[in-house]
Amino acid sequence: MSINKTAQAPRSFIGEAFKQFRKNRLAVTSFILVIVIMLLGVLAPLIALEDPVNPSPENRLQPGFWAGNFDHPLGTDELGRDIYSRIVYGAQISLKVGYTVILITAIFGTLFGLISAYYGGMIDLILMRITDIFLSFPPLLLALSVIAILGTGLENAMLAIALIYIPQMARIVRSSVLTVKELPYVEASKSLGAKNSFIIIGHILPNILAPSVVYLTLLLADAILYTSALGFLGIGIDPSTPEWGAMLSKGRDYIILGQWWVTVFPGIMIALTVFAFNLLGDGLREALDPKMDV
Amino acid sequence: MFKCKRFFMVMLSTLLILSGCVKGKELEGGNDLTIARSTDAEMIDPGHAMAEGDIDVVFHLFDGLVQFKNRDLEVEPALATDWDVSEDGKTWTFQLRKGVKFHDGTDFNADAVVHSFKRILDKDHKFYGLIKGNSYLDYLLGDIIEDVVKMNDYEVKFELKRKFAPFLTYMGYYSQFVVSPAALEKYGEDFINHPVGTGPFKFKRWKKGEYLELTANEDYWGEKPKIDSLVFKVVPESSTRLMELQNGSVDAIKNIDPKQLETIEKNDELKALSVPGANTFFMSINTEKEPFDDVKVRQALNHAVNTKRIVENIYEGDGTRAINFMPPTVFSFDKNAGPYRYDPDQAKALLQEAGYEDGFKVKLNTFEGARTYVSQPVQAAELIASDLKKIGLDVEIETNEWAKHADIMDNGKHELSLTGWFDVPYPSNFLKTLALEGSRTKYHPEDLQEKAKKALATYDEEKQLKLYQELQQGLHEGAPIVPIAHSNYSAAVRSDVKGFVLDNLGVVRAHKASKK
Repeated sequence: MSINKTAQAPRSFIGEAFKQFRKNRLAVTSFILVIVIMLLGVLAPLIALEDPVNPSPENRLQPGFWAGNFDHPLGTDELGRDIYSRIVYGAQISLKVGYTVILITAIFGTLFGLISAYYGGMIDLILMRITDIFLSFPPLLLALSVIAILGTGLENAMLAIALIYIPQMARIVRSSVLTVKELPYVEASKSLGAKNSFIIIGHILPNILAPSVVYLTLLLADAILYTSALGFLGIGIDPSTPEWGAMLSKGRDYIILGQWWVTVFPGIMIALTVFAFNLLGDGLREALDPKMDV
Repeated sequence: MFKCKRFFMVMLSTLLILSGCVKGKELEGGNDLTIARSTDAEMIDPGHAMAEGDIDVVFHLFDGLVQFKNRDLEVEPALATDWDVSEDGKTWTFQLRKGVKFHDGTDFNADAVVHSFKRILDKDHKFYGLIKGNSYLDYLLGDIIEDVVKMNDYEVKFELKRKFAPFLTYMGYYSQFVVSPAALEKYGEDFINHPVGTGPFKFKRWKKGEYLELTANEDYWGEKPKIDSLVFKVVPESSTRLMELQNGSVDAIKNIDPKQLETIEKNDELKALSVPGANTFFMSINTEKEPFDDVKVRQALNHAVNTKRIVENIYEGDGTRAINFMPPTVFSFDKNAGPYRYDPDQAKALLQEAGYEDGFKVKLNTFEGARTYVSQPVQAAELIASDLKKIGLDVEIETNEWAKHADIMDNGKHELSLTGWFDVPYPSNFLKTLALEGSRTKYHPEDLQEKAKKALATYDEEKQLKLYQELQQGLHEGAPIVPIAHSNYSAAVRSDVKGFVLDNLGVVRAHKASKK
């Protein structure tokens, strides 16, 4: 009986978490929003009206549906491109950046954090001082310097943003590992003669998953925001790429002249996406954190 | 420490109160002309002024030995009444105007001219290096002038190292204007805060970053100003400048955003001024890099870019199409030295002849932010990229801020790169300094360089014309750039303002301005 109960424990944890998550209405809404944004990105080639890159200046700065223009429902930008189509393709870019940054951060952050905490001593000291160095730079400045060294381009921008978060991720993983590695089951495993690799993969990694996942979800929103910031500053990417931040920046000059739509729609999209991922992250944290379970 | 802080606070509040008084009371009404500009002056010294913000002011405070007639490069007497050039073309003698006084009351004479030039050009002169910074005078004439000699109080001789065609023209340009040696002596390096010249206006006060006020010079040797004072006000935001003009708190604005022209033209109380500028916006092709070492590829690029579309949409008509390096307003402009007509099929055919029928990958460098010759360089790059994609090239745009962009070009790391030039409207400045030296194309064939040298070494205008036109033809055929546009310089005034002139360098000339 008691054996049975322990075996079921992990399952009921996930089930409990799911229940907890479902109770949180805001989280569910944000989850749906995230799905919609993902669908926008995935289906972009099908639902876009026009090529998002090719300019047609004869149609420049046309207002959208509020002026009865249904050919370009959200209007056109300063080079006559359909803003709706650019936004849809922009979702692809934002999500691509988000996931790539998360992937790089997850891999390297976890690696450094694990090694640092598990082996301790000199390795820990060196790795943590390096993270200190990186953490001491203002994030955007760090990203700008990395781009200045590596050159521009979306790939380099993603790398630069990942570099901001790897040290933070490493810190979070390290602190989780430090707690976990002192727990009796790790000690038991050690005394049974298990190899370090087995302990790390079999015992430690699964137990630090929850805080990492939460952090990574929150990070996704930040990564999207930083890409937009880099796009806004005009560094990082090819200007014809339909990146939301870059679109926002280029529309800036037109707000006073009454052509607000060039800026407003990409702005709304950035806000919505970041909002959705943040709420999703919060929801996940509440659901996964056993301490919040009442 | 604490004391120091308190002192500072007191000073600051006093300053704030005082500035409030000045702005509230004395800058209003009367027979004043106020011009709002995007930037303030930094260096009010003809020898060291470099930026538009400085040159605007220098032209009102100082005079040269000669001055331009209207907007032409043809000169007429100013501080010199007559001049003469020797047989060998290397010695110029100027007779100076008598009875002219500097704003500080000292006499204008040959000594002043000698000091003005030697303080920049002669390392042993007592005022050399007094004011720090680059000098446009040194850039234009540093290698040319051997010596400046006082013959008597009202006669000055310039000895040149070699015959130099633009010499007289350059003498009418701001960097060769004459400053008061007495003021240099008195103020030292602080001269830039107390500029003293012979010009139609006198320096009154300068609140840096806010406004600069000049008053009319009652004793001016030429036509006296009709306004009592001239104020240059700094208003960085272009929409704010327009607003201030609309509500009448300023009389004129400079640096208009092309997007605003329509608004200005619709308003009866306002008048837009637009003059063709002596500048060129172009795409530099690095002719050292493959495949751009092949002239056919360069010509293909010229056929591929739809220049008209850029002029219509990026410049919104406030500019003219460029067909070569030279702005059409400059002497010797050859309207037959270009353009390549827009023809993607021809471009493809040329690529095929050159062996690149499958196209190639290319990077197009551009920069952030407006410059004199283009207001939206990034959008221009996007249009060009879409044109080049149509002939089968795989184009990637790289955007950098200007310093980095210039660095990439200076080191020859670019393939295609958007850039531009503005200069004194003299042919060699565009055909030699720009085309053969400063265009970052690595294109300098010997025969063309020879022609450029010859043109500078003759005072015969017919010969100059012929040489410069051959140069333009040569540059057209060699196609080291894709010429795009010459932007107009623009300003707007309230309709009661008369005689406000903007020259083809974008510099304000309000000497003869008046208000109804």
